[in-house]
Amino acid sequence: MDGQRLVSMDTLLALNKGLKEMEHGAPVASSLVPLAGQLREFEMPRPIFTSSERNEWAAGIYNNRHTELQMQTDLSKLLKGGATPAQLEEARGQLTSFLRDTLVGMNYAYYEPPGSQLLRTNPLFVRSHDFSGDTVAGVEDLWHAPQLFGQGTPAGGGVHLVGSLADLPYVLSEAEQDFITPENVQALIWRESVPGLLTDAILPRWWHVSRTELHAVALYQRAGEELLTKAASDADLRGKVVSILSERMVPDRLASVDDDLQQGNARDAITWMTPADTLYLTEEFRRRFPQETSVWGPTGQELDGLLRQNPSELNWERISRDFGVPHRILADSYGQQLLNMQPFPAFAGYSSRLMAESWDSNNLYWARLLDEKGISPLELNLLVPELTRRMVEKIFATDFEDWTALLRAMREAGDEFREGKFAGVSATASAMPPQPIH
Amino acid sequence: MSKFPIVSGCILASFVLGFGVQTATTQESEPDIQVFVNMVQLNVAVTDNKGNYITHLRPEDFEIREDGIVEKLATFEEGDEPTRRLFESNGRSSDPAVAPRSKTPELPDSASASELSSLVAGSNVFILFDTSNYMYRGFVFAQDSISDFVRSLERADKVAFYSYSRDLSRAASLTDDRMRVLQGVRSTVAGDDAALYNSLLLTVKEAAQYQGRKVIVVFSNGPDNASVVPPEDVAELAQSTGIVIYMISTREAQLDPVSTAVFQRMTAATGGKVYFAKNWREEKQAFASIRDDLARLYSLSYYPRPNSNRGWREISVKVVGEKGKKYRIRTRNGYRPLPMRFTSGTSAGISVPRSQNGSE
Repeated sequence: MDGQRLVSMDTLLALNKGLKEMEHGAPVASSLVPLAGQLREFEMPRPIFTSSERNEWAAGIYNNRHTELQMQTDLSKLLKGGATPAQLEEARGQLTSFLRDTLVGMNYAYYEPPGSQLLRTNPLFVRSHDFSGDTVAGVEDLWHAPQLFGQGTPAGGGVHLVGSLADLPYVLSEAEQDFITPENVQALIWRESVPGLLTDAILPRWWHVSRTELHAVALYQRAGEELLTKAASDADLRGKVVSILSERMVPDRLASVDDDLQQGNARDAITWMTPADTLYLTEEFRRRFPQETSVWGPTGQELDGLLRQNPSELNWERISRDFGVPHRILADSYGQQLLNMQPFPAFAGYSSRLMAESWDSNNLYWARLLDEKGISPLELNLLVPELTRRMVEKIFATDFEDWTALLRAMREAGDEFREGKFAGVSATASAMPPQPIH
Repeated sequence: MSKFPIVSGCILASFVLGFGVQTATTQESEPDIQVFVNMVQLNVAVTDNKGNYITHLRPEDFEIREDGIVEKLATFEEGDEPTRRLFESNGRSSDPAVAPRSKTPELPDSASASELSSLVAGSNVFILFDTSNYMYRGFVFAQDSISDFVRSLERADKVAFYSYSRDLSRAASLTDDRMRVLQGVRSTVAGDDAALYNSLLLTVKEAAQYQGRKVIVVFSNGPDNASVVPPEDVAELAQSTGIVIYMISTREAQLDPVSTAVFQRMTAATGGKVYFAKNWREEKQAFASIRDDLARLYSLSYYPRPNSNRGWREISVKVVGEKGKKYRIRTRNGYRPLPMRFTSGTSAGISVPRSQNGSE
């Protein structure tokens, strides 16, 4: 949080403790003086506009009264001695606004999107967070989901958020999305998909995911591809596979898969499949046709064995929770889950979040890559945001229905990762040799 | 001293700041502190009151102060001349014109003359071209002007060409291959919202990673309707990383008072210049003026004396003597020591104990 230049929690707690002790008669601790000095270290950015210019050009946007009041806080006189208990208590109260900023800043930092710049550059961004909408006109509901104010207003001092922290990951992603530089010109579906993809990468955490679970997620996907390969030479199986896939693939794509399978071209059929498709195919086939074990190849059999050995660790609900994504609009929840549904095309406005929310594939695919490379699942916490960022750079859609651009971008990012061309990976991940899973 | 005519009449002094970072521990019980040891590099052009460049000044003609503290020059260069190292690591002057001053932070032994030269010689020119909806008119003429500018730059200079609308597009990364840059210019297409300050921020951060003189030349029609960062953040970062910003815009941009104010003040703050061109001929003249600026800069550098100020540090430069009073200096007026992520790690670094640095 260097960019925000916030006062540390240690400093605030130590000041609070010291002032409280002084209230009870303790002498002034010498250590408090430099700590109090830290409250005054913050300097506003060097102004380009005068106050009157801001009033004229950014009326209703620029408002840093909170920060300006903070900068007037000076505890040094109190620490020279002679302060009354009431003055000391008031001084402790003045720490509250600093504490607020530090706590809010921690939330921002926790959900920092990959490639973020605003958070690291504009020191007023966190300080300007306005929970109650005091700083802008026209906000009637208090503590609503946060909104971004001030975009495209150069005299406004930068954007700030107005509202609660409830939708923070998405709004931060929305604010930071344009700092990711596309390899081509910006994709038509950028604004519809990118904030959602970034949110899916920064909200989940994988600290408790085991190697076994990571491997199972990879096996699910590979087993689905195995099933498709066999379906290319088995008409009966093809019918079952297509029936299952019809529940989550749009008709034209499903027709392409069916055509490829009929022609015995499993490889092409697989290129149409998203990781969520193959995962779903495996899970649903196992559920509907539990007796048809002969259709499974080595991968399917390995998965079957793994699931039998670890029924509690590898149940569907857990995998869905660990590798699913939030569906704030579709499910009215930030809970993570895999929603088996057809992808939504991109629309403008309200429904723009639907496209990304119906794309459940990224984290599944990144998990598969890490499993292939023998990388610890803990690294998901570092790599998923970076891989997602790289994927976003590669999105290049040719029309608003070209959601397969996401699939192409994801695979290209994955190929770079496999080939070791992705600098972000080598810098963060430590590859380990694959270990037996029991 | 000789004089060269220029389009605008002022004296240019721009500063390039390089950082070296080392950690100094004063006592075992104290946590390490990171001290940003700055080799502040200055690109200084001097003009008289008619706008003529003043050349052939000597190191001792300049006086530099940081927060009022007189600083000692470490290197000096004029135009394309080789960089002169002005004092050795033991504090002895290698130039009889410059007498050693007492208690100066030592140049690290690792900083050879050639390395010092590489820090300041040549220019890395980043061109940022507006391809937003505001640029439909005159787009092709602007491309032509930029192409001419690229061709006209000195051989020692490297050029990058970026364009922006809502996003930044890196059409040609920093290179000495002029053809690659020209292809990048021709590949641009116009459309979408304008996020000038977002894109300029990214360009500043990228330019800051390189050694040597760094300048950004922005060609923009003005309005910004999509940025999330304010121009003051960009200007401050450019100042703190020693990047000079030039801006060329059209007369239409002057209809937007916000853009006019930002362009004038941001360029002035970084030691650059702004041009509002009426037509494509004036655009070409503006680019030619920038090229002249680049060719006549004095490059100076110094290691700041102990200074406890961790916030904004004011810098002033003047030419000493009676004649110097008539000269004008265009320069950035200071910098803010930066967090470690902005440091290049290539500049000479010095270990400075807490006490020596004057901090706490």
